[in-house]
Amino acid sequence: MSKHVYLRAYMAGITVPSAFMVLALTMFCIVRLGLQFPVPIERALVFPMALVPNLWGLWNMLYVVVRRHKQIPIGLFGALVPLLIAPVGLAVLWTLSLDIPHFVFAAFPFALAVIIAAYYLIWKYVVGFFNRLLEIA
Amino acid sequence: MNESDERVERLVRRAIGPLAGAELKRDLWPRMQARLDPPPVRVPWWDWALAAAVVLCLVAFPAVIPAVLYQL
Repeated sequence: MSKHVYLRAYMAGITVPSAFMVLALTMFCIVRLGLQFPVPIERALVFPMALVPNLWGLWNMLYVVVRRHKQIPIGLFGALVPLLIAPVGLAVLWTLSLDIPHFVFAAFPFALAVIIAAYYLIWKYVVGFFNRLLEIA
Repeated sequence: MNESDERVERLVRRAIGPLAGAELKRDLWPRMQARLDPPPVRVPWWDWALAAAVVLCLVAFPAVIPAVLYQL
């Protein structure tokens, strides 16, 4: 099973955020439609719904390339993703000029540490599992 | 098989002798299958600690949750 290794890597990478999207959409419906949250967060949904899953897939493809030259644990490699995603996410928020509550921005540096830890665990165990399943790792 | 071949066979049998314990004492397939199966994932204690810390942070500081959801 040596064919289309990059396609399989992309599919393995994109699976987790795509599955998580259902939870995110549920949260969105509850917060925005149910609780009438006054911020138009649907304008910012393009980031978690379109960009993040594709970035995960591309990052896993990059992992396949990097691993050929250097052995790096997939958990550590995945923990680097937020360092790329977080600035892009903030840039999207700034571009859309959304009136984000101050506490969200205030919590962002602390949240980044939590996100890096979560990414490390998810990439190590979940994406790593999918990579083994698709015979990439 | 000619006479020469039979003689060689006899000589070989005499030199080697009967094999003792040629029968397997147990079925080796279960052990082979256990080796073929992927090893169970072992989670080290520091990963458990990290996961607990993440959950604790989300519970203690709910303001972090929107930022985390936005990045996933």
